[in-house]
Amino acid sequence: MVVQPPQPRTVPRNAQLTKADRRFARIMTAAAFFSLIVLSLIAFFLVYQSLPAIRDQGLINFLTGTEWDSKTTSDGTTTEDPVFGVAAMLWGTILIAIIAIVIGLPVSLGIAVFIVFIASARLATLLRNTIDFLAAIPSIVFGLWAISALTPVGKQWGEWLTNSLGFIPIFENNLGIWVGTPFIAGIVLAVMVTPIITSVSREVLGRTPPELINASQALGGTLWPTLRYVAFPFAKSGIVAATMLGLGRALGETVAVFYVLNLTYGKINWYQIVSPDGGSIASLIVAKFSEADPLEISALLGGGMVLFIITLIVNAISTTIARSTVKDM
Amino acid sequence: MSTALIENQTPSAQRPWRKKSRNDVLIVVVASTLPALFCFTIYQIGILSPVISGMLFVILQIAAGAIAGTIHRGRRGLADGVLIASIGFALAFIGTVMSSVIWSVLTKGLEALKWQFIIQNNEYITPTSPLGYGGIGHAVLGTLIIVGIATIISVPIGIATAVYITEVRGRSRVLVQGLVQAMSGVPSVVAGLFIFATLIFTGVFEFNGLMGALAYTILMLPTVARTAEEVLRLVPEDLRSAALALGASRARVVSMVVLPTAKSGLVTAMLLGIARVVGETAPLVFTIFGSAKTNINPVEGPMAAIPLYIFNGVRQPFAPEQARAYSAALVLLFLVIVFFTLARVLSSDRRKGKK
Repeated sequence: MVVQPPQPRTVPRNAQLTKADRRFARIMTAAAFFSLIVLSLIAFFLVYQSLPAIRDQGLINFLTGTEWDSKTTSDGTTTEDPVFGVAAMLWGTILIAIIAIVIGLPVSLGIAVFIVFIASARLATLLRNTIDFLAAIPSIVFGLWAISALTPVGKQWGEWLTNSLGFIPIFENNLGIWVGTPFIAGIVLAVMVTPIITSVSREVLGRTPPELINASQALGGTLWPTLRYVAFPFAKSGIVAATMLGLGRALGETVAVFYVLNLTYGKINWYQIVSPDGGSIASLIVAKFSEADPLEISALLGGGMVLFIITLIVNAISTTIARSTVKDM
Repeated sequence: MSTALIENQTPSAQRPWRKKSRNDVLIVVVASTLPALFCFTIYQIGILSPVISGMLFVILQIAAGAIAGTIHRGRRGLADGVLIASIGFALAFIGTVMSSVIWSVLTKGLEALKWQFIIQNNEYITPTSPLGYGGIGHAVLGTLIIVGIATIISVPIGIATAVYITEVRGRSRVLVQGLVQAMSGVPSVVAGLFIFATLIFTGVFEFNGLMGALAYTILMLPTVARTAEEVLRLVPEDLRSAALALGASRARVVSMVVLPTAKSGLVTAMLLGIARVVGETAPLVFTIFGSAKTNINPVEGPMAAIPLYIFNGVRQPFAPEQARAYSAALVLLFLVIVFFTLARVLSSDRRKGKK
């Protein structure tokens, strides 16, 4: 995440190394590749254990189906074939992550600009610490906050939005219930991704060369022109990387969303954000896990695999962008 | 670091937009109160619905910022005024959220928080048992054991990864950096599922504390590795060169010069790692199962932990159990604050020590 300028190598790689040095290097290398082993094991076991369910359902049905029903009655008898499809949950996950970014990104940028360019040194330190502390608050605490404080407010807002702006399709609500909406879950996620995006963008904005800023000011550039023509172009890719990082966090968040989102199976809610039809793969896993039979567990692991692949892709994009920034500098 | 050097040498920016005269103060005061007053009145009269008046407020406030900027600085001030008004909204948003989060946990959590709550366990407690009996002692112990094991596993590996990247500088350090980055993006629910799929679902282990610790390790390792990497980069190159010039092997340079120099920073890395995982709930749902009894054996039988206790407690429809869950959240928040503050204090010591 932090872009470090490349450092000169102290010892040439082909320098004379003693036996102890080589052994030391080998042990450190082994430890460094622990992360590779873990990542490959995660990928392998999630695929391997989800195969029974995917074979049962067919990969296409599993990815495009919207129903999730083990068809098992309370006494454990199965009458029909179970159906497992992650499409509704997958789109729901993406939808709430988009809401989180749409709310969280402007807020984060505003705070980052304030810290770097406007606030006095003391106020900036205070704000930085506050934001870092916000990042350290456990997601379960945000979950409790979402239940007790945010849901009543978010319900009211949702109702107002439908009543006054219901003619816009995204604020439609045909059910008359405003609890458990993607809107509320998106706000919780926005609060959780804001510290991440803020701290990375603050850092890249702070790296704008002071000469450039001084030059812009000398030419009469006040705050906005300096940002628009100097700081933002300089920090652009860093901010994109920060957003992807936040997106990765939003996609994988579990408990805070689990408490406030109503999961609806059987149809994909494409855009109605104040309607109580949500989806989230992580919440699906937690919700269904305790009462699942082996086939359903296998299907849940398949859902976990889909989530893992998506977050991996998002993170890879973020890393690639961040690395290209280092090269530019 | 080089940027900081330049910053110290160049004269500080003049910040022309911050010049304050009495006139400017007046403009700012009028521009920031008038829209709020206007919209509040409209809302009270009831002409427009709350959403419309709220939106009107946002638009008016930004327009007021634009007008104030224009009066103050001409056409150039317009964009600045809009920007500052919007930043004000961002700050207000995060400030409200922050105080609301702390307030909601504090008010609901203090009710059940008594000394007995922290040390007793939950064995004979039902969701409807009155407050004043039972507690989360078993969960506190469980959290400490699980986090402790995760720390013991992830700190050495994390530091070794950082050493590989900064000291050994092996051929594939860019790859390793990327892998650590990728690992830090693994969702916590996937970490828990992975341990479940590999070790529990296959029947190798039962639900127990060790499984929770392994899931935590996956989440903790990247944090430790990345912070340790940054810390090791701060060790002056001269120290390494001097030690090498004295004939030390590279293993000795690392173990006797680099790591001791960065000691407090490495402790910070560990603490940040702990703060990262101590409140994670999702990995525990699939690994430790939860328990009402005190169990301090991490390899035998289900274990309790504070996040899981909160997770299950708040889903109960009974008031006493919910109050207990909020108190447990308060204890958890307190733990996080302790680790976070310790890490902060240590790292600021280090920075001061460098100057």
